[in-house]
Amino acid sequence: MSIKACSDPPPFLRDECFQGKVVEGLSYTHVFAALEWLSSKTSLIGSGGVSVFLGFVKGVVDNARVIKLKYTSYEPYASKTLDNIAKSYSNNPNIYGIIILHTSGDARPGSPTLFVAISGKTRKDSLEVTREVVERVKKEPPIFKLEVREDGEYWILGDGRRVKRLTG
Amino acid sequence: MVVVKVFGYITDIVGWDEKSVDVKGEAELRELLESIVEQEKLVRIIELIGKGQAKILVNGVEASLSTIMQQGDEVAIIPLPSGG
Repeated sequence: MSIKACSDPPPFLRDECFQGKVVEGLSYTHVFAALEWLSSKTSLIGSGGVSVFLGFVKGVVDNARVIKLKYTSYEPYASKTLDNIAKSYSNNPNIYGIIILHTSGDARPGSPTLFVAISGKTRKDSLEVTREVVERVKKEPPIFKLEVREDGEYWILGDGRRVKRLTG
Repeated sequence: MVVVKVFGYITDIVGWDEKSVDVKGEAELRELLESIVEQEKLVRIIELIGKGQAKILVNGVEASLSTIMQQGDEVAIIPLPSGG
């Protein structure tokens, strides 16, 4: 049986089971559409589950209210890196599909910032790869964030430390 | 022209996020940066690179200060990514 598993994608995705990209203003509409599509399409080739990581903006940090995060991505390299991370698992016989979506621009508390969905043969396979992919997404693509809080603006460094902005 | 882009907290160090520079003949990246970044600020960036806290990319590939620049190249000075 030969099936083109990941056909008819939502308009912001390609017809590939393994893909990643930066989406300006990532929303729950994007997230739910990608999740539904990946689940239904990879079920056709034997998947029975999808593991999901959803990152969103914190509303409070260090007892200060967060107004928004401002994400800047260096394109096309950030999207290429996300895509390469997803595709690097395409030879794993126990993983049927990976979608990675990362936001850019301004994001308010509760808004999605990172969506990782892994369709796998078993929950063990998909959960392990989800953890690995999320760690890679935090370190590899050239994406940078500024936290705008009621007590000032802070650059968030790669290791999670915050540095108060010198200007602005 | 060569476009130089700066990201993250390094924009606070240099005070801008993008500049274009005209390159005549062969020029090393160091010379190009010296023409648009004040010396003390460039020293600070070089220190960050030495500590592994920043990188310079030319056309998306990690480069050194001795990389030879050509018209149409794109330079990016980036701190450690902070995705997620």
